[in-house]
Amino acid sequence: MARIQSQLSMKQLFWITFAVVLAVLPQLYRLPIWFLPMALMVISYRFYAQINHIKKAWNTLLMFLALLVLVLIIFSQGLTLSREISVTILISMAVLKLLETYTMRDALLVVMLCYFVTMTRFLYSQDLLLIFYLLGSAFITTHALSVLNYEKSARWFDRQQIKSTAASLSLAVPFAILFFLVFPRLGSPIWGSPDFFGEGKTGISDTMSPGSIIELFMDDSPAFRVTFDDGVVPPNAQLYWRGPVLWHFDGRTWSRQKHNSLRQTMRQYGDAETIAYQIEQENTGQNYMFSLDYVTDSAGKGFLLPDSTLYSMTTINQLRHYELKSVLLERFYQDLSDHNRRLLLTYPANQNQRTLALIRQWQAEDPNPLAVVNRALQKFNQEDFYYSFTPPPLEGEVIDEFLFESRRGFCEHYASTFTIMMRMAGIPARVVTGYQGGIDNGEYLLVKQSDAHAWSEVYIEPAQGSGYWMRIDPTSMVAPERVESGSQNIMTEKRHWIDFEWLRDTKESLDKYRYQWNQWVRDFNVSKQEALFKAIGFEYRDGKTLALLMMAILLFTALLTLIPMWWLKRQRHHTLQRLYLQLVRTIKHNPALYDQHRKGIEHLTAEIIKTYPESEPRMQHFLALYLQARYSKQAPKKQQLLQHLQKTLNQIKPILQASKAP
Amino acid sequence: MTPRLFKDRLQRFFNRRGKERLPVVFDWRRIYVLPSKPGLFFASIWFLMMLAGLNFNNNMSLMLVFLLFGLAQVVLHKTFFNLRNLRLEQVKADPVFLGDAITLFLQVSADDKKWQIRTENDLTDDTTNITEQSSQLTTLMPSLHRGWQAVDRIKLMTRFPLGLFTCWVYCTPQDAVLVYPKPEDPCPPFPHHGGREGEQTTWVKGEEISSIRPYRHGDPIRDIAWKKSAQTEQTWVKEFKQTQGQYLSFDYAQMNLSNTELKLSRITAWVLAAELQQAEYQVLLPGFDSGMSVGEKHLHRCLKALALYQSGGAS
Repeated sequence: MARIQSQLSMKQLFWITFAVVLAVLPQLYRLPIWFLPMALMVISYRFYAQINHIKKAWNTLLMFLALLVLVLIIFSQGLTLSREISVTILISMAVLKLLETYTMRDALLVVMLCYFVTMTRFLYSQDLLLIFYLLGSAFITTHALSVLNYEKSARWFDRQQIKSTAASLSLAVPFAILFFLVFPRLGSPIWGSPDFFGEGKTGISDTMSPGSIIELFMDDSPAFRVTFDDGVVPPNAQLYWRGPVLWHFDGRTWSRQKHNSLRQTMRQYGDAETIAYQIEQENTGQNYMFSLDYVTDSAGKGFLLPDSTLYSMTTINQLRHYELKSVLLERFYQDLSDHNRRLLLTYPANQNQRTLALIRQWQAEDPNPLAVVNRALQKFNQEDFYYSFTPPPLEGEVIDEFLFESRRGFCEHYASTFTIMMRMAGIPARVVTGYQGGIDNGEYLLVKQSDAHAWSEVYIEPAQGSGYWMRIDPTSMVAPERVESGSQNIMTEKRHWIDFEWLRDTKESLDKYRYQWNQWVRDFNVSKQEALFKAIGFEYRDGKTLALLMMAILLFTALLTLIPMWWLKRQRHHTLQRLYLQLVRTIKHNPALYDQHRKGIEHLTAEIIKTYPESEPRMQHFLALYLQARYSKQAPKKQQLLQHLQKTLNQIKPILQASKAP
Repeated sequence: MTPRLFKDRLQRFFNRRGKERLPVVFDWRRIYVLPSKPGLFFASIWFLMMLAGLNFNNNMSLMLVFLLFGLAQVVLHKTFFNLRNLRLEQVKADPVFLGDAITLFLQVSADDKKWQIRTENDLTDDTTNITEQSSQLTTLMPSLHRGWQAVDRIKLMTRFPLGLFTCWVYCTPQDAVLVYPKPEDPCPPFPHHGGREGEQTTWVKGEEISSIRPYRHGDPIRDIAWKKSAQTEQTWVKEFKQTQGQYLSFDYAQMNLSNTELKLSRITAWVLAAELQQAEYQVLLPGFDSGMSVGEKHLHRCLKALALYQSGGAS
């Protein structure tokens, strides 16, 4: 390609930059802080250079810049071979490449890299809404390629060319869908683990410190979806989705206990008592799975830890499906070892003395553990405690401060305070985090990140050596609506500036589509493909059949574009051309004359008149009208002329036809 | 089979249509399609993307990958249809002197719009759009010998719209281009033989010695200044000057040069010089007499005769 060395025009540069910016934009949030200023500088310099005809900088300088950026990346993201760092390097180099993009060759390289950059976004998330990004970015990148190849006009947004790009892409969509469904998939990765390219980290974590759950409250994205096998959703107050159980408290942060054993099997329950359900969990980048209290067994989906937490064997980096059975128990009988009892009674020594004094006073009045539990709950219920998403920050001895000073908080404050109070009273207690409630979307129950919740579990021992766990949700004493109808409905203040009820409702109804999207697109895999093949009659998935099927589909799809294109490109003549062809067809019987028709209307007319002198006046009239119509700009007048032309032609035809006879 | 012979056979195999009479319509049977260099780069990036998408079963990546695959298919067809039913109406070229490049004007036409129709070779390239049924492309061709030179095989191609594929057609038209002999440079003085007195006078080779100059290839032996040459290392030639009428006669038979081509080359130079001075002249070749005249038409008649002398001197 001789043109490969040719210089870029302003318009071409604009479209390339547009493609790069659009490809990078959705990843901006996870790029280092210096990236945006760097990118802006690079782009503005490149345009400045274009306007002022500044030549490309020395290669050594550009090399140095690239190295500098590389060092910056390692400095801000660490030197590991991770997905983050490789994607950041790719993106930075794509942007930096603009600095040396002066010729067609470099421009083509940058544009094609844009496709790759677009793909890397899906390694982090495959949300439904990203389909717009996919289509948009593919469109702009393709249009940049088109503009690089040829500028139809000098206009920046040439409508004709944009239309042509759009047509190409929309013709490609049927291919994409068909190939998506039938292209052979891999059952397991050939190299690397899916963890390396998992979709990222969100959701509840295995520590809880003041304010950690509040971040989740702000987040309306889905945590998981549940379908109940019998279609009946239990009442909201029973929907406690158990996540990480936290044992240790250092005065500020709760953290979990590491276990090296599994929970003992519980006694068998009949089908009537158990609830069977399926969970479709969004990627969290962690190992926690969620279940209703209390899950009967892990069903091979993960480890069932002694504190009834389900813990996945691998990190959940993709959409995960699992089926569980639970029994909704008030009391969960379980033995407690001395070691664990000691751990569950530990609280920071020499802190929170006021609380300790209060507990000692209650114990003196009635030493029964259940009585202390009720006293504590009554205190939350009857004294002026408030449920608030914007509590004053706590410092120092947080339990004392919350119980006696601020008295405003949400689940994590109440669960944390209550648990420590119980431990002070000698009742083994722990904090359970997870989600509470969910929105019944008809087909399934949607649990959002904003449904995150924390509650307590206390161990009651009516007799020595036999005790049970009991769930206590102190938050429900302060705000019963929280548990009955969900976290969103008790809010009076906005969580953030774009927090509107209609927006939340829209998001919830959008989740239905997202659910379908997950079913059909995000979670499409070998087994779903096999089911599809089965449905259309391909039972065996051996290489030969697949190869044949692929060939058939390739041929079919090729025809799919070929046919509309033949149709679009078929010879079409405008009315004037058709009239001319009519004239030509009438003299087809005279080969010598017919051969003249390529030389144009004027020549042909002259020749016809020579051969058929009797047609002269009509032919002259025809020619005059034809030329008038050909160069006429006004549409109505042209229409009139065309009608006249047809009439004249109809008069000429018999003359030329008649002369054929002799 | 020697490589040369093999190449010839290959050429013949691919060029079985031989020389064609224009106009030629390039239907689908004549179109070659291959991915272009950027297209291959696109394919390699696409392949990487597909591997990554399949390996991690990342369905949105695969969607993008398959969308791009569909796009490539569509673009392939678009490129093909952009070239299909293109017509090469005619090839025109003005005569050139041997050694100069021949400029070919290719008139192409089509019933629908064609974008970025391109012709390229080692010497030049040109691109055109056919929006109003017809358009023209220019290409160059080296001149190889005097006389009629057949037009080279013409390659018309397009990469529209995305440049991922190249579609091209070949055509060898029947047409030939007239190549005049290469004029000798610098132009030697006019000969003194022949010619007639005219009103105006020009200095041509005459009887009286006006000066002495070093020998130039092709000088007649009788002009050599033997005495002077013997005294020095060089060979010297006597310059004769004589006024001659504007009527010049260039006679092939009277020239003292060993090589036919050199003779023709010199006459060509003289003809051009005479035409420049607007002097009437006559070219005499065995079997050809131009008659005494001047002017564009006469010039071309003479040059054509010179070009075609001894059937074009084709080697």
